[in-house]
Amino acid sequence: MAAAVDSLPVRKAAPRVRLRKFLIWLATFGALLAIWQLYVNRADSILDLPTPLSTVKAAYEMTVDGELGEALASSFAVLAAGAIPAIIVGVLMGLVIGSVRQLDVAFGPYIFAFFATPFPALIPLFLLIFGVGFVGKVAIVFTLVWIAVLLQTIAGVKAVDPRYLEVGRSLGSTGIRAMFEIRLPAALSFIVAGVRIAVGRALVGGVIAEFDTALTGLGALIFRHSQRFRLSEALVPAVILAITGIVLTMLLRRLEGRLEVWKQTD
Amino acid sequence: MTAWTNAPAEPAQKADGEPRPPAPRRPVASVRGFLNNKWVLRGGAAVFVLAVWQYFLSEGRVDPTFAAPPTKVIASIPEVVTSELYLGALFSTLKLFFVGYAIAAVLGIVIGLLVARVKVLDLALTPYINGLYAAPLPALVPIITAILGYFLAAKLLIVVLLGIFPILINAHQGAKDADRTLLEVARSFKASELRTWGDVIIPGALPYLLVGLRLGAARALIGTVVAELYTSPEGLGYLILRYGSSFNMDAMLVVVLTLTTMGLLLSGGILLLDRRFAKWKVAD
Repeated sequence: MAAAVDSLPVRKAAPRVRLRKFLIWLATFGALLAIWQLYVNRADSILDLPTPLSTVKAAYEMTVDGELGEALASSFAVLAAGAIPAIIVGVLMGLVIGSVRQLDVAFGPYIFAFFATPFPALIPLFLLIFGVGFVGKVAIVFTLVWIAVLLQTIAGVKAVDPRYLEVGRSLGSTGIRAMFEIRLPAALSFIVAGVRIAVGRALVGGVIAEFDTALTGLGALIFRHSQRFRLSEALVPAVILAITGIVLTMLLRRLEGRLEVWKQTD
Repeated sequence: MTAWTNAPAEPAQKADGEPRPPAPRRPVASVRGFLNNKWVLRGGAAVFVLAVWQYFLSEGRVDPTFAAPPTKVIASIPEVVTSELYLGALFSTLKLFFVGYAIAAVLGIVIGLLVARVKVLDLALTPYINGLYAAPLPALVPIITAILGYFLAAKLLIVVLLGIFPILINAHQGAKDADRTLLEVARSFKASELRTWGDVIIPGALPYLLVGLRLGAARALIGTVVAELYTSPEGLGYLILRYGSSFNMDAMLVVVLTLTTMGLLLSGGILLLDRRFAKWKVAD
């Protein structure tokens, strides 16, 4: 069975090749923006369709009147408050469940079933129980991150080379000590992969929960401006979210690669 | 990405065809063996979770408006799933999912293979494809509905946008990993591009395509639910909102569990297909 790939390979190449690639990228980027701008200028639409220029202008205006900063602070507070505890809890639970075979056999299928649930279906439920404010959104982000990190940590702990554990045992590292000294470091690249998967889900979960409340955060900005057909203003927070997702994914993927290399040279 | 694995079934015979000596019989009734039985453990875990859930709700620790103890949820399953409302909603959700997923599959495979084979496209588009895959695309839903309206076109676009990228990326990778030797043989025999695709690239990419189709199905299902909740409410998404607004938590959970089942069946079904083809490849 082929391994799942979730990005096209971007190999490190010689500087000259990289420069050429960058130039090609730049040219494509410019061309795409130009086509977009010209297409909308020519298009005969009753809507005020966004263009690159109008989006940049909207971004500037929204920054000046403070609307954007406020929404950013609100959204990122939710993400941090939900994701950080979720990563800690997910890793600790994963270490325990992954180390004890019976727990893994018992709870594994349910954890996977929860992960396989299309998560937007849970959002109305969470908002009903925890309210549409800060707490409700944090609860959603927490749950989405927790389940992805848990699943990956269990997989990582189970993939630990049993020889390491044997060596550890003979040197007196057993039980909880082995969990932190051997299993956790060996599972790190899996855990980072879990965080990467979780980031994507948490951004989506957070933003669509903000559509529901339409009060605070980037999602609410997108929703409110779209409702009034101010599409350039609506596009600005969406682009910020996209950049956040792309940058975090890239950084985590790089970290993952580092950890895997560390494992190989080990 | 299954978190647990079933132990592979012991082969009845050794590779050289010599029958195995019968395994020593374990005492069936031993307590230890019983506690290590897969189904006993799983059943125990289910009972444990349900008991904790029931306990917290029955003691009035949670606002009774939102209380949906497992006994009530289970009891409400037959009534909910036989109602005309539920069956209609299920049908409409399945329809949206399968139409959107089919479009995503065809477009994803074609674009993925094409981008892999045409160097200019590969260099120009790869960063955007990776970027769009990492971006939280449901953030665009209000903008999509403002432009396309609240009905079928907007819904399909959401499902396709979410489902297409894993399929595209895996198809691309599959074509890139096509056997170089076979490609060279094809070239030296002056095989046409079309025959090269049919005989080398697509068969080689098949296992990747199946992985992509599995990941894409999970995301397309997420897209389906987003489309049903945040455009004009329809299908199972509409049912969730409707039961939620009347605080009918039991029925709401039955709908959520339906979607869980769909998620599991989809990934399980494609995984089976995957095993079949993987075997076929090894035997080849």
